[in-house]
Amino acid sequence: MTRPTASTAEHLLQLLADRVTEGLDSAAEGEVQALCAALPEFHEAYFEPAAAAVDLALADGDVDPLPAALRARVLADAERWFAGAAAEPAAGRVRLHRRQPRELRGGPRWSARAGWYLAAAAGALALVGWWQALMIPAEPPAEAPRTYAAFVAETPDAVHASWAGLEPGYAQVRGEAVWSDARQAGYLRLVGLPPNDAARAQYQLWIVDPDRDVHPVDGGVFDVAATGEVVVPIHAKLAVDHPTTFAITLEQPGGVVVSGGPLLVAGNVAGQAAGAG
Amino acid sequence: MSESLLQRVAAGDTAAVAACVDAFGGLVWSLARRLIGHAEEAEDAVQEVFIELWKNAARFDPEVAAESTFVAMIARRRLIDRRRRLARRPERGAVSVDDAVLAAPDVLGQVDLKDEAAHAAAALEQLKPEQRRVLQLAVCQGWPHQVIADRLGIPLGTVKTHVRRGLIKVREELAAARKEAVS
Repeated sequence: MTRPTASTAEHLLQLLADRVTEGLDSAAEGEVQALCAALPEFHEAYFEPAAAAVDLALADGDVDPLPAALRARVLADAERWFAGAAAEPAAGRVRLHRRQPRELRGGPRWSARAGWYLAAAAGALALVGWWQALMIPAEPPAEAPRTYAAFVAETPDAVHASWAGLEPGYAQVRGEAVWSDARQAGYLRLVGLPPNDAARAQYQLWIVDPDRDVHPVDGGVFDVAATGEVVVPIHAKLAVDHPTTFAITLEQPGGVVVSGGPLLVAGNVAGQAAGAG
Repeated sequence: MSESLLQRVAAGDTAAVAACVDAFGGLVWSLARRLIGHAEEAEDAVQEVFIELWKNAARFDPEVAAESTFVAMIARRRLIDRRRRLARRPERGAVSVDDAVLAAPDVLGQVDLKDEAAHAAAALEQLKPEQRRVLQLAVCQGWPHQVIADRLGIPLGTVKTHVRRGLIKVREELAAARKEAVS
């Protein structure tokens, strides 16, 4: 392996500086992760405290009060979030009372078939950094489905994907993912998934939507009890319009932004042909 | 030593939640307005940030950073991510370069700054005016580097260098302060 040079370090520092000011695209994020792996004295959050401190220093005194209506929404969100966390620690989630982000379409439009999508998704799942423990995706403004059965009954346009185990120990997994583009909501139903120790690892759902990006969308984390059965709502981090594949990995508690784990279980949306080419 | 608001939130003290919103709501809202721009998007972003804060409250360590710095870190990360997701540059509204620079406070005059912010202010005072101006526009106003270069009439590479070196300087100052506090 080539030893990193000083110019490599300087390049990484520039990327890290860009990261806390302009933000990075996924390719640059991947480069940062790779360089940080090669240069352990750096990490993805290297400049975050400094940028926050600069912000506080220069903007001190330039703080507007939180509008009362927004304060009320934040407190209502908090009440629901903590209620959810208390009732179901692994699923402490809240439906935010806000508008759906207006995603701007970009990136390549995928044209291959579902099996290829899955391969592309697996390729996009890359390295994980410690900082990502803090980078837990926000919950989307999905319309909260009441129950799995009710959701299926009330959402005739929902797409269905049946699960299939991809790794040893997961061949017995059955169930499906259902998703509604219109409602931006869905459910996972899984049977036979090995239980996880939430303190060590959590399952994470990924949604492949080739219309929006080559990278899979984070669908949220969940836990599986000893029964091996789980029914949880899907919390897509970004708007999902035409999912073709759902996949599950096992990640650090809280989930990751970019996964390096193998796809344990996956399901192609019905009507999407499996297999590459 | 009494527990911080975030430590109380993490411990399940529901009264601390409202106190936390009151203590940091203005900070998060102001960050969102500056980095996102559009008021409605900023409101959505504030809600996202606070959910993120509740999730991460248990990770706050007062030995590592001040509470306001931790909140600002969480908020900036979420806001920059959101801004990229929206593929939208921050709306600069009526704020011109001159306005923004003039609005930058006299950091030496901020006697009430605490912890990391105070050390950052000290580091910023050591920068050349142009460096400080670039850092302020990039970090606080969220201006893209190319826009800063165009507005200030300096090369893009110079803007990037100012941002990088400025952050390195602040980081070094923070590290030195932390080391001194420990020893």
